[in-house]
Amino acid sequence: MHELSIVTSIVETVTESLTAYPGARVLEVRLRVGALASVVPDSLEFCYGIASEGTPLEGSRLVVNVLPVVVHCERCAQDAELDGVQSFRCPRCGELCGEIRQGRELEIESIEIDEMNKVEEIA
Amino acid sequence: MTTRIVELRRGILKKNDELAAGLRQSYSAAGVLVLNLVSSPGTGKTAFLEWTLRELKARGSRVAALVGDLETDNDARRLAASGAPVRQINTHGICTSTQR
Repeated sequence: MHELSIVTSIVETVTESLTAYPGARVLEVRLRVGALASVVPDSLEFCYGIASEGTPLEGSRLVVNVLPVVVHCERCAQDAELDGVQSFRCPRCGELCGEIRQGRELEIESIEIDEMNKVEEIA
Repeated sequence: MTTRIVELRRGILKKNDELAAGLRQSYSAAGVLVLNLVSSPGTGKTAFLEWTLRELKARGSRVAALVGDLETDNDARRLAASGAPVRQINTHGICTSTQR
């Protein structure tokens, strides 16, 4: 259950980034999670509701964009997307590929915020 | 309601990565080799440590073991059979890898 500490870190990072938008409320948080990041999206969503309670993220949507593994095949001299994480063979030629080009990501891509309060302040 | 999309592109485990880099640096500055031995239950991690302690002790190295476990001292007792000094830490339910 390391998902809870990951989600806690998401809440902290997003809250810190809100200092540039005082009074803003978060509507959506979009993540990029690689298939090799050892993160279970369902667990993330389960923990998200608990961790975001009482923060500007409360009630927001968590959108998890899972990225498949992409390896570089020496023989084909190009990148190839894998179907799973069990076999690291090039789907075109069958060569074993150890050079991972995508799949380890674990990052916050963007957030959607509601700046309603800010607009009221200006008016 | 005024909505805005803010690009963050922020690594979620950035703080963890920074802490890890700091630890690696301090270990290497102190000349300490740190190994992380990971495998499924029952595959022989403790057996490997028993053998390592016994062999190093037989070769005259000063060795000791500090054992972390949720509840029991089973592994500590196994390692103590090597004759090396062994101390047990019980975390009582807290898995150290997720402790913040």
